[in-house]
Amino acid sequence: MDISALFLPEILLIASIMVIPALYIFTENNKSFSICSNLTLGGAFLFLILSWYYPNTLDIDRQVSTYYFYDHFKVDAFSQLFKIVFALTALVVSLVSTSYFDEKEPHQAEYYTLLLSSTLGMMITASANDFLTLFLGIEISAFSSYALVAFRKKDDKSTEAGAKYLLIGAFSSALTLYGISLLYAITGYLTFDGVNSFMDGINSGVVDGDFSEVIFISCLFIIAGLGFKIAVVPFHAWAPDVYEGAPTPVTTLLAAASKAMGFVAVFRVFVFTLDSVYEEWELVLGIIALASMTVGNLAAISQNDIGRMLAYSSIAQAGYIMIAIPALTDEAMSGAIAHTLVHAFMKGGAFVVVGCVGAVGLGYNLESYKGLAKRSQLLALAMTVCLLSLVGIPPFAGFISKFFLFYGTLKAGMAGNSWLIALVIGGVLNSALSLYYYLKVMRYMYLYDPEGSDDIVFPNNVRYISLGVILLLAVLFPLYWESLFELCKEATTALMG
Amino acid sequence: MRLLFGLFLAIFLLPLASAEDHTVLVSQSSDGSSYYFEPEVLNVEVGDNVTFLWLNGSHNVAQSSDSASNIYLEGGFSSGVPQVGGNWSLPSDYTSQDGTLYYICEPHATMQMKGSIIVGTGEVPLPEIAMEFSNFPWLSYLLVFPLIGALWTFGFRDSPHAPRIIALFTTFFTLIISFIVFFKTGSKSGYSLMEEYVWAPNFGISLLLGVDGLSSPMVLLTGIIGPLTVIFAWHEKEKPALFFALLLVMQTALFGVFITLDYFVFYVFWEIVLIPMFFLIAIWGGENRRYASIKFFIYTFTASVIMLVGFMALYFETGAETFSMIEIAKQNGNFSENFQIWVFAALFIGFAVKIPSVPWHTWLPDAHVQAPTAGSILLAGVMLKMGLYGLIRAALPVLPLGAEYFVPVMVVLAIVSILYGAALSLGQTDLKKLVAYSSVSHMGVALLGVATMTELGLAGAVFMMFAHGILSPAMFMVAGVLLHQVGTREIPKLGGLAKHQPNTAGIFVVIFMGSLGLPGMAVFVAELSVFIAFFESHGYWLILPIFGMVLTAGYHLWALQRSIFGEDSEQIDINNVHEAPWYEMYPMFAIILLAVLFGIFPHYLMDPITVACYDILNFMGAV
Amino acid sequence: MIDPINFVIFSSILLLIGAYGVIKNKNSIVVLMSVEIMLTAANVNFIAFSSYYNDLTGQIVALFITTIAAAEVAIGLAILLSLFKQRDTIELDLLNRLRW
Repeated sequence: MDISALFLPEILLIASIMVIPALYIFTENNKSFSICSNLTLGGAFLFLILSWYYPNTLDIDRQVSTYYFYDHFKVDAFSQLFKIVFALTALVVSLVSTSYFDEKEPHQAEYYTLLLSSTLGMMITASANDFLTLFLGIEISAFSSYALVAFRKKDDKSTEAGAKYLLIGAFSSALTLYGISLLYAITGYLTFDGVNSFMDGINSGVVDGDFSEVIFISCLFIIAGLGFKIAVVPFHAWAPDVYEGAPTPVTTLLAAASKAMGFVAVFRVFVFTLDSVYEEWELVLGIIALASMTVGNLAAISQNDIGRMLAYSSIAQAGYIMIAIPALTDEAMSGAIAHTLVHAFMKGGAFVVVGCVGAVGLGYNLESYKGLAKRSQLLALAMTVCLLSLVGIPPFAGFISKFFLFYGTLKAGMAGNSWLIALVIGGVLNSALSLYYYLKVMRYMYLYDPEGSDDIVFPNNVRYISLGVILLLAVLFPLYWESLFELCKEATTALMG
Repeated sequence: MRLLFGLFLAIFLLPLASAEDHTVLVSQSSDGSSYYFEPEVLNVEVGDNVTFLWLNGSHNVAQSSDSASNIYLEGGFSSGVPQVGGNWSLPSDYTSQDGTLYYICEPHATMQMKGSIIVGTGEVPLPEIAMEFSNFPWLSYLLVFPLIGALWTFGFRDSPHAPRIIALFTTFFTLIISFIVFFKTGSKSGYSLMEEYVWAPNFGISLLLGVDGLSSPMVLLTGIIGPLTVIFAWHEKEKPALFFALLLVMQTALFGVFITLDYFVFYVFWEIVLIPMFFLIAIWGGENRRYASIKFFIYTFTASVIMLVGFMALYFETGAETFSMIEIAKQNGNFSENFQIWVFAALFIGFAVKIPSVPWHTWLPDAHVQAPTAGSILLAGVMLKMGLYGLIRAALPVLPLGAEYFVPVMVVLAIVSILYGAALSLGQTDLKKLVAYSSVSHMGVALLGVATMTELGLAGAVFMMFAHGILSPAMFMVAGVLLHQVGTREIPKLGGLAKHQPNTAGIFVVIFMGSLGLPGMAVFVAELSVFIAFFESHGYWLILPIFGMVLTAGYHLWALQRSIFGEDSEQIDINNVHEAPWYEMYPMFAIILLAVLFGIFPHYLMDPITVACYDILNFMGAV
Repeated sequence: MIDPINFVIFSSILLLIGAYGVIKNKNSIVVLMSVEIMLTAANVNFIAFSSYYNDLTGQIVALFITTIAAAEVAIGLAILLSLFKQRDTIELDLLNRLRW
């Protein structure tokens, strides 16, 4: 196959984004839109895996990055790994949506179009090679998700969540943009490589002048904008509201894929582009990490809505991932990438169950999980695996990725940056703290008898997905974690150059 | 070329050829103002000969423990009574390995007539650990069989009978394997039956399995408790398949904790134990099970993540890119004292919660009282042993200085546990709660044994772990039988049972006697050795734990007297009380047999344990 | 040639005005407008330094940002419109069905 085929997944998505509205002219059958979206995402997912990880499909050296569009679009191990995650998550969301929305739900064509365009934005972000492409990718994805969150026009909560998401999102993206403009002002470049070499120049004395304040300020602005995407303290206020208000499949997309996209952007900007001026931002990121995990876990304890609880837990998880960024070593970054991936799966899995339980009419409160184990062993088990994985209890995948993360950071800490050790200890103690609220859900699922009607049938596709999640988190990752680590290491090498 | 060859030959042969002779002069100045060995510090190579030559005055040469000591070290070398003139050569085995020998002249030691011989590097080399790999994967079978059984029972989850039969079959099979493992290990020094499966070479993590005299009794204990639990829970009616599957998963995880020699895998198994236990308490527990299960989980998990940080600190400090306990323990000379103290503190918190030692014991009574009897049996019988096992296996050999620093803390915690546990037991009316607090007290005795840091004390502690591991399940069985056959565990409500169920009551009496430490039963042997060791190391402080034993005897006898004997109770339907059914009698009877067997012939267990404890202390440099 | 620091000062004043508007105002439409002012601030920087460096990239970015701003307003107004249909208000303080 030709190298240009690497751009095929995006082409597929763009084509489908145009096809679905066209289909809408001919047919009112809602099934056709979802089938189209499933096929597209499934095709993109398979193609990504085959083209990148199946040997000899493509005649390229995978260690070297491939560039498109005058070097604005970069394909490397890092971008492909995350594109696979995005495609898979979007596929799961698309599959779940068919059972979440009933036949009569209006505007389904728009829904699937927006879902695809959101995924497209994430993929562009993963491949971005300059600030403009990065920003465009983030905005494509963000605009689609604003509309997705507010998708149920008649639903009060959904609209309110959409408005909040939009206003805070617009504000923070304006801040990011201003930060980028400041970087452009001092360097004169917008490409990552250009800015990176300028920063290296400052360090090695090639470039004259003292830019440290300007760099610090622009870092602050960029952190503010990207911190909104990954929902870290103090830019987290939207997350609980939006996670609670949005339709649950959309929440799944936000929690799993959109967050991963935010981390992709953070990695590209801080770990690659601005790595040589790390003195300017490491302390800020460290404080944000510590604050996020503590605030997230403490706030999650008192939540009664499962969406809000998981939102706070994902704020805490973002905090864990952030501790690896100031470490800036290969191992810590591999850990951060691994935990971002695994977090997408465990959070996504948990929200799939939440959406299913909500869709069959049990509600979104913690109490609605009473006796779930009696109603469906499989769903309860999937939820348990996801939650225990989020705590980081062996042998589940979350433990392994968290171990990578803390391992890498602790190693960097022992090697000199001793304040990182404090971050790791904070993370470990927070993991123990977080156990409490996850156990609350498990307690409701297993220890109480179901209330209300007994004859609830859970849709089949959700059951298959939960089985897949269990297999992935409890069997596949723990057994083959060396391979997971290899993947992440390869991505790290591609990222850090 | 020939010259070069000759040079090489000379270098190679030099060590062989140079068994040098050294002479130390034993003398005093003629006016008696100074007494000396000449040279005072003698450097020799391994294999050299040393001869002492008397010049002036009446002296002898006797080994002392260190440079400050003025007395003869019992068992060391000595030239005998003071002599005038003549010579005496040092037996050659004293210079056969690296180390420093201190010696004195006994009559003139206070006049600083001392000397020392530095052999080789002067440091005693760490003892070699015998590692014997097995050509048959006995230990993997221990891990795999219960797991297969768990999946198997789940295949028959709709049948009322199949799960328990499968579970019984599986546990009997693992019991046979654990007997084989126990006997194959024997009382050899070092690890036997080792296996290694690489899991994550990038981090130096592998599934490194092996047993020594410390773990083989624990493996045997886990093997024995398995079928007893299954038989005792024979008539479990609520979700039997899940129940037995969890028991079997739990057994796998417990075996894993006891046979792995890799810190990381140890931690993984350590945490896996929590999950089935949580569900056992949470689903089949008593009224307050929700609170108890969550408290149990959070308490132990919090402690063990702190332990994980300790493990990782060890890993990084070693710098050898391996989590193997053996490899890390070999480096224990390189760890600074400060580091050892901190890491030992982290590990000790993790282990002390599991032991459980006061003040971290509060989860135990809740968990015990709420757990189903089978859960309590596993909890008290095997799970509580993980803490002390971990302390002896994972902390002591690696952090000798840290352990030494914490000896006073451990002694205080142990004595407080003994007294506090016993005192609380006296006040309990619920028999199960009484047994739970008595576990705190008994494990306090074991912790006291560890804190003595002597061979006898450690061995007594491990023996106590085994003895308590079989007798406390029996006590919980008594409580379970009372609940099933009489309907209550409240001691004040009971009375006069002996008339109505004489055989069962007889067994109860024997179990209670065993648990309070009657000579001839296993607990007595353990207590005796711990107390002797404690007396040797701490003297008359022994009065405190002895007082604890008086309390122990008190609450056992008191509970027995009020529940089994005495007047017929008005508060229970006394005429409806029958003998316990076979599936409750046989396990108790089997336990009594074991307790008597190991009480009368303790050496079956004591031999391997003593060898292992000697190895560990040897490794710590404490022998 | 004007010293580029003046542009930065000008743009940061614009940014502060915009941020003040976002934080202080209760009307969603005004908040959206304030966000537009903030985007303009970034635009000023891009265009000024584009001519300073003699590099067209900055101006291209400015064009893109204008487009993005238009799209943002379109989506924003649509969402606020459906909010208004349900609640007859777009006051931010009244968005309290979900805990803020």
